[in-house]
Amino acid sequence: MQGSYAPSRRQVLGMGLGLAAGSLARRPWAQAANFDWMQQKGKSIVVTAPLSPYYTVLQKMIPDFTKLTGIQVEYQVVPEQQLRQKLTIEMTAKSPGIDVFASSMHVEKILFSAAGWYEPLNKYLDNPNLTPPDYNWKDFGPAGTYWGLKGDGTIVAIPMGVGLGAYMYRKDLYAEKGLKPTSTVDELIAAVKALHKPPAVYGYAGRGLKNANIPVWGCLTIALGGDYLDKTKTQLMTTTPEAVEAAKIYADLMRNFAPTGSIGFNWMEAQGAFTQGLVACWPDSIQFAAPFEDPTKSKVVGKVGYAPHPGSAKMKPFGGTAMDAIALNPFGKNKEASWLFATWVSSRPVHFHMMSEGAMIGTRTSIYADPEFVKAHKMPKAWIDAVAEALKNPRPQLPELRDVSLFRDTFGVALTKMIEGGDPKTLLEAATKEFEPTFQKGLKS
Amino acid sequence: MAVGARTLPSPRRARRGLGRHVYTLMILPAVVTILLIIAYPLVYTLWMAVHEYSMGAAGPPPFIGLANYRQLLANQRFLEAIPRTFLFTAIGVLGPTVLGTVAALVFARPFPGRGLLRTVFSLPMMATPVSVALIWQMMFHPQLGILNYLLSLVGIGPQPWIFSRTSALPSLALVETWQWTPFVMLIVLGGLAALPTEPYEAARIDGASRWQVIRYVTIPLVWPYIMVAIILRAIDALKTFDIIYVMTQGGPGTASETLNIFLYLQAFAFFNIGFASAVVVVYFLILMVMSVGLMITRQKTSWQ
Repeated sequence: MQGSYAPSRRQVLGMGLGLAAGSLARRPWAQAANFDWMQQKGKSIVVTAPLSPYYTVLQKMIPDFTKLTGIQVEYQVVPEQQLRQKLTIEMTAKSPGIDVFASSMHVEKILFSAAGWYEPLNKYLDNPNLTPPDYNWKDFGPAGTYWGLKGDGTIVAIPMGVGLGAYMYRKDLYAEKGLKPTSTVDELIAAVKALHKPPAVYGYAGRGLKNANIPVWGCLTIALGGDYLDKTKTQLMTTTPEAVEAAKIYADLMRNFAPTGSIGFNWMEAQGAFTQGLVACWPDSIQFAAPFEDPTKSKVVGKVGYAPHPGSAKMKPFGGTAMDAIALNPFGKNKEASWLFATWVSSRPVHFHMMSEGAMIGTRTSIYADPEFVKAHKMPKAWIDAVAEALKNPRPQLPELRDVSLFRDTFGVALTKMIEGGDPKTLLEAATKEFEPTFQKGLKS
Repeated sequence: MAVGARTLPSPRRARRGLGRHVYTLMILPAVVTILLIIAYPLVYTLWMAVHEYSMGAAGPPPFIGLANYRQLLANQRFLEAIPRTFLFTAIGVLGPTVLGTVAALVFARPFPGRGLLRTVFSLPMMATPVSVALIWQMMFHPQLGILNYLLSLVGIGPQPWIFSRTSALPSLALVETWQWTPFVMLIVLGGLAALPTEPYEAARIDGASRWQVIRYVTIPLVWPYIMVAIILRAIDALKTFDIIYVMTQGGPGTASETLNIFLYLQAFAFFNIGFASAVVVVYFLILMVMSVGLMITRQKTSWQ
């Protein structure tokens, strides 16, 4: 046929390779070229991370890291609970088997810091030969840097995703009742009461299961101006009027306005009920909102409002944070190569991709101001705005103490007893008395 | 005697000489392996139980004698977990034993489609406990679960299942029963297939009804097999961890916290390894006493 183009096999192969190379070069997480990424070429490192959507996204990007640096990565995926156990056992044994690990800072920060299980990172960050010039540590904002820093200014971990306690509500139901957006706990309670029409719609949803219920009560305490610990972090503040009042509010909402069986709910059950349109107000981690906007799973698409966690006269609306971070094993043998991995994974381009594709709530503040990010993200702009707003006033949603798991268990059991009708003040006093010796022991360590 | 032929040493000489040491050497690998696999962890557990051993603590763990055991005996949650564990075990043994035996009696008689139905009936046993737990957790959801929907079809109101302090443990035992009834059925079915036919012929000649045959011939004859199923089930139910942890984590509150869950929390959530080791020792003793008791019962019920 005249004028038709019939490429040879070699030409087709060449075009294919060209396209592949072109697509690699255009990868949105490509790094700036003015840094020697190849300085640790030929090294091998072991990276351990939990199973989560954004770490799954990261796992797929690992070949690009190897291409960029020449460093081979053995990437181990371990479920979160088992990862915590594995890390504790490996570190107790001072094993060099893991080079880089994901650390749940809200659980491990104090224990690991006290035991010397985090490699201090300041010397790497301050070294221009090891850290790219465009890295910008301060971009992580107050939520990220808070969790990555020890009190003495030592950086022990690089922020990744944050669990962000905020507020999700049915804006269509709010509009029907003429309610204005909620910014205080009193307004939250009023909205819950106004919208409670069971069994069609329950005013409130919350976690009742022990351990899981701590951040819910904790965020209410913070909202009323209280906290878990005093400013020096040497005194439990779990029997203050704010803590008791928060417990009363929590127990009342759970007992009278939450779906039947909420005492045994973790976030999944509450999320399911909200997704099916059975709940009006849900203060919890805002990353759980992903299915609300999925038309194949949700009955509330486009009907959900997002906001920071309500506050009070003593506290403006805030975000209750729990941090997942990347840390280096102090007993590891390839620390420079490990650091290069940590800087790459926490670089702005990689974070951008993990946040837009993997639903990670990163704390790099510049990303939230980027119009490209709003365009690339699957969640509505209102959700992104609420996240950015909550991150401006971050408050740890769990106490910073060594035995945080035991704290969650002890006070979690007390909270379930309150839902069943127990007296909040008496139960909080008993739980505080029970936990106090462990707390003191932790302080000494 | 042919040239070069040698006589073998007598057995007595062999025992006295090198042969005796050869026998010892031959069993040595097995002894060492057993010591390493069983005895060492046991001794190490006993050692940890008398130390304040906590992961992350600086320095060697201090010796504290029997303090962990004393603390254990004063621990309200531990004391509450013991009867709870036995209650769960009792339901988890009784349910599968009764239903499994009935199922075995049904499936022992030939009927069309028996092979297929027997396979289908055995499926729960083959499923991974964690998957089973996750599926049942969804089915138990008070608002969205299928179980309450099915109850609503027959006019029964919604139940809280695992989401209530009072019904959590029985609901978990229900899952245990669902999963392990086929296990009992298979054991009893094997027993039924091995029964002699003469007692049945004699019972028929004597004019026994079908129920009387089951009551006075089948059950007594198959009882040793049922006892084997009970022993295995009891040990297994006593150790149940996965479905409880996945579905309730011992909650609501501590309503379904069995010894296993208590032990897990102490060891792997709170990292109180010394205290957890004391729990292990006590738990091990409970298991031993129960197993030996059941073994003795089984000996008494076996055919003479």
